[in-house]
Amino acid sequence: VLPCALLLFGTLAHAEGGWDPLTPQELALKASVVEPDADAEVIFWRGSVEDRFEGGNASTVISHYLRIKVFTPAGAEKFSSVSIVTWERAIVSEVKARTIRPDGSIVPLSNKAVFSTTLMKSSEGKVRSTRFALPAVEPGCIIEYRYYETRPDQFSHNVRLQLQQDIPVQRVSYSIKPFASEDYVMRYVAFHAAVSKLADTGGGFYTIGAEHLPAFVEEPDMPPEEEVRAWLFIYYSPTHEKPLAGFWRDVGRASAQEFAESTRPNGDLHKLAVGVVRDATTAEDRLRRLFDWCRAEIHNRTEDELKDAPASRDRTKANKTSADVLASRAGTAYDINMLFAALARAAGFEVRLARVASRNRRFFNFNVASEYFLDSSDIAVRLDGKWRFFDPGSSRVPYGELLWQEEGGRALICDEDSLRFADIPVSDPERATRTRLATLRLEEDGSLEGDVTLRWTGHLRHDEWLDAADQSTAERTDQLTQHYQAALGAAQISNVHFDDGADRDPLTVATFHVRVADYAQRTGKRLLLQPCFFEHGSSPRFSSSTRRYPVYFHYPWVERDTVTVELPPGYAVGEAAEPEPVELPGIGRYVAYMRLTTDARRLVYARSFRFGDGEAILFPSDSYSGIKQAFDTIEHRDGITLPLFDPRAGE
Amino acid sequence: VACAALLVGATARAADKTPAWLTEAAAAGAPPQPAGVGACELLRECSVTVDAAGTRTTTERGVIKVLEGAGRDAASCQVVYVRDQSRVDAMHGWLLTPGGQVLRYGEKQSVDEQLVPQDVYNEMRVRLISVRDEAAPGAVFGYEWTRVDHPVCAQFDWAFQDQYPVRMSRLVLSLPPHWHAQTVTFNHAPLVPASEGSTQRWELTDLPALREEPLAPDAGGLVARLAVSLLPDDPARAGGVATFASWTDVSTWLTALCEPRARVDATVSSQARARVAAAHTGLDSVRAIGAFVQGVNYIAIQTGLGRGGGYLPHPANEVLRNGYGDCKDKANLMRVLLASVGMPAWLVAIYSGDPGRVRQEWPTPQQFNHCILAVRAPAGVALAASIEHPTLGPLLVFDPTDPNTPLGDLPAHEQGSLALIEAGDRGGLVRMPSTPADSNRLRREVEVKLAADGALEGRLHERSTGSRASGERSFRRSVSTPDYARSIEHWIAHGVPGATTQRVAAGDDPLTGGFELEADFSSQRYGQAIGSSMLTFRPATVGRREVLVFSDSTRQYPIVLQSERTEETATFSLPAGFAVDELPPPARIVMDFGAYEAAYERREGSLRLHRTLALERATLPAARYAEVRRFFEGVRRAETAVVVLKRSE
Repeated sequence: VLPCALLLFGTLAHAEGGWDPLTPQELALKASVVEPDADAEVIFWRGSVEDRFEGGNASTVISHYLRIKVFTPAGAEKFSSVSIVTWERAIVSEVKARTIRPDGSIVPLSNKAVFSTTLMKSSEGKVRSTRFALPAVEPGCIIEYRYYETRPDQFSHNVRLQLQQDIPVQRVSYSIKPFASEDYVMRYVAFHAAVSKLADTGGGFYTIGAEHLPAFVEEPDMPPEEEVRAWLFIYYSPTHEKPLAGFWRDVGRASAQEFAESTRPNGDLHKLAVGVVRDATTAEDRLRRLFDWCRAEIHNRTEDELKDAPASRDRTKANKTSADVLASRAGTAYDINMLFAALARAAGFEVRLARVASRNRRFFNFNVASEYFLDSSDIAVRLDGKWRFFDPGSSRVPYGELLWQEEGGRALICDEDSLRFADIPVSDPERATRTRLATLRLEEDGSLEGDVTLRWTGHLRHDEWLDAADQSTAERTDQLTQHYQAALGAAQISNVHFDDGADRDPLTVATFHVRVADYAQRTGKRLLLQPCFFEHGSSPRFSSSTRRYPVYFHYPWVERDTVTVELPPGYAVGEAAEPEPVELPGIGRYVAYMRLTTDARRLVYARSFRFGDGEAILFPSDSYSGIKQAFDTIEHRDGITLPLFDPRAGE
Repeated sequence: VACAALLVGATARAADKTPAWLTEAAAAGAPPQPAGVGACELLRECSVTVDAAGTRTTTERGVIKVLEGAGRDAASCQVVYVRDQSRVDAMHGWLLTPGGQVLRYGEKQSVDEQLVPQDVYNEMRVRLISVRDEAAPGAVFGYEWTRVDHPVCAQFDWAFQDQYPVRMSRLVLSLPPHWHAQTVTFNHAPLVPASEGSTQRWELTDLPALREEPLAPDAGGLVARLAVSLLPDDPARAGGVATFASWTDVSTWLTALCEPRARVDATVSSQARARVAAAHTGLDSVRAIGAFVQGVNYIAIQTGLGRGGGYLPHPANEVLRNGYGDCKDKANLMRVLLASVGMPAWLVAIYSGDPGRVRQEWPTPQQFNHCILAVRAPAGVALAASIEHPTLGPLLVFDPTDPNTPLGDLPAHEQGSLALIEAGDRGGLVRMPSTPADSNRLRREVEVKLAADGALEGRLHERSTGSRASGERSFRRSVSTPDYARSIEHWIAHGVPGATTQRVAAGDDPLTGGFELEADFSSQRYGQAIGSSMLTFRPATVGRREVLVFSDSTRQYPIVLQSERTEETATFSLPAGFAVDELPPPARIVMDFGAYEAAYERREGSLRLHRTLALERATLPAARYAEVRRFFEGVRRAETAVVVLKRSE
């Protein structure tokens, strides 16, 4: 908790014109206080959020006041104009801005220099922009601006307030005035920032703030933004809040009641369920048949969107119940899950809605009593006394598995009678496997030619499918070709073929023919070959020597490569050591080996890399150097070179 | 355009009847296309009717067949207009689905956007209809729009295609009595119109799709275009619309338009004097004022476009007060600042982005999209960006909008371009200077200490000049200091596996106007051990930052090369007990458009690699593709070569 003095700056009486007094320290500032290399720095950023209810109408009035010191030409360029983009009926008003030159002279923004324009207008609504160019912005100056935005028909419930920007922030505060109600109060939670204690600053406003926040940056393999960026979450909850367990029990109960209603099996559903499971002998088999039936027989509109498929002009009526889904034979991923649940209920299974967090956006937080942290759902079915999870609505996710972002967290098993959470394990590395096979022939001039097969399973397959979902075959071919050409130089890629298989097929395959001139290096008497064909020319996974945020892999995985190279006639393999394995205790293992076939005409290189054992996918930032070193070592082992020579010429 | 996805599919009542031109074009179908061509324009037609007052009514019709999923984006149309100066009278679309349905679109389904969203304000807007979300392969989209305006200039140009193949492309022009049209055909043999009364018609058929090829000319230099100048038989009856018979006319018109904005006042004079106070020479003065104007922020506020505002700068004192402006504002400010200290300069209209875009044969201000400055060169000054003008004398051309190219140099994308010096009847079209490879040089020195286990410690120092320095400077400015360091780390780690970068320092070299980069790096695992006695390593530790791949076996378009030179000297201190066993052969590839050399020098305990790549500015015909490809393949081969060290006995 920061000293309350921090909040004083939020309540100072404004100087003339509504601007805070400038201090000599602010004018004299030569470099960022928080991060010395920054192009600019927010000296203070004061936001306010006020929920109003007037004349029967709700609205939120938001204001921002920022004072920014500019240090470099790049900073001057970046902050020379400001754009406030608003949707539909939101109104921006009282825009004021000015520049304080390094010598302290002030250049105000003329009201005529504020342009409000419709950026885009369609039958769906308007996107409006309020823009202004700040005068006389140069290194050493201070700019400041403030404005109000009124958003009609809403309160600030489940709202994120940013504390960080892409430049450092010395001080940030929000003054919040909730709607006064006897039944509800506004609550807040701060994430990834040490905030001051909430202070009553009068007039119904409560103020909270933070200091010395570095710029937010993107790093490879980092957790979702909400798990690393500083932000404030505000939400309304009942005045007499129950203990957390009670809150989640109520959420589970309400969801269970709604679920029970929308998945209540009617006669048609019963009849269908009985027909689908007729010949099944086990509970598992009955459930799988229902799952497969939903996948095969119901048109998935969510998949249409993912595939960017041409849309029907006819307005689609939303399904309200599982019976509607069955009748229309089409629905969203959620609808299909509901239909599966209804059929499972009709077939006699114990079925619940499982509410989960999508950890590609945020992690579940039991301690915050808000449904914001349970933003997705699956179907839980009790089989052999255990809760199992299903997601027939997500295309290409196999029976009994979930999307990667829904694994590895807690699921609220929605129940009308009791509070029940279940842990969903992260899948084993073997469930996401990438297999690459190459059968190649090496020529005496170093060129390499042959056929390649790529296979993906599990989450890797799903990611591959998602990447390609909205691509034509030509675009997909182009992407694959460019990838290998970037890695291998002037490679000729031909006969590219993709086979995504059927929905329930756990495999996606790509095959192609490749020819690479000068793949092996001729050094005179030797030909130097990198047998790890697939990692040739690859970029390092971690190149930065420093790290700010934790390292986060989406899911465990396994890579298996086999490269068979037919050697040029008469050539033999010189002295070479096999790459040593890389052990990652409790996390994974890298191993590679080379063998000559018995006729010594072919070299077989095999490589295996397994990562994420024991659900190890999230690593604190202080373990970065170890992670980087492991991946660097593997990259080096992948680069191992084999000398080939023609015995007739002597080595 | 991105917001087009918001379109919904309610049927408009307007234009309920499917027009005959659409059904006829759809019935004719698309000629066979190679795989990967996503769409085909079955009809592309523009009709322009001009009345005696100069009012222009433009109607455009199009029929597009979607062939593959990737071509669904083609199922759209758009009309650009100037707010309060032109009006869109009608806009209709029809989608013929493969299932035989006809879906209709009108204003209700259109999206209206600011044409350049990043401008603080711009009167130019675009209205568009996109049906890509509903257009499945096999669908045919037809559209028609009409715009009425009264343009500043009685000229326009029209492209017979975009990227997609076109079956029938047609421009129809109807003129009032006593007007005639002069046309110039670009990128195609001259087109002769078919005439019928006061109407002329130009047609092209079966135009192939544009291919994507590396180092190809800009699309504006590839697709057939017709440039049209409308002229009254009696010049006095132009009705206030500007007409041009020569480049001198264009210069005179632009000069008259902009001259009132060149007034010197006390504020501007005072600023100019302050800027040149420490200058010892005329060149110092130009440099000081140039650097000041480069520091003025680029902000575009486009108003009055229907009255020539697109060519008219804001007054210099206003730009000075605001501290921002667009290209013409900055060029004009610099001109006025220079004038106030007695140094003449002229605005220069140029096309930024494609040096081959502006053509001598069509005098018009409409060929330009950018404004720079030509300064009377102080006596004895001859820099890379100097030209000798027949009437204005020695000039120094400078782009004050580009903050990364110092005085004396010119951005690469403007070099060699035709540009218009706005100097009344003394002005006209001139060719901008082109700098040789030696002026655009990157010199790199790398010192590496290699250990017996393959570990490496290295230091690199780069000095760049000319367009190479501008490129480096531009990148440096575009990212924060930590992000810049990270990108350099990534670049080094790509060439040196496992590299950790200890120090990155970069900045301008004030003495040379160049840019310098220094970095210290190390890796525990650079060299690869082979067995117990050998160590291999790649002596080209860091490579070019852009990879050029010529993988296609055939070529359709010319190859455009920019002049530049890269030199590297890499010195390797070899591990004790190791000696060079095998070296890659020296490389020497010399062509008329470029040369590459790589040579090794063995020294006691060390090895030195010197490599040089020099390219000359050239546009080579596609017939020379095989030579160009061989050249770059040879360069790649030499730069991936490996050295073998052997442990001494």
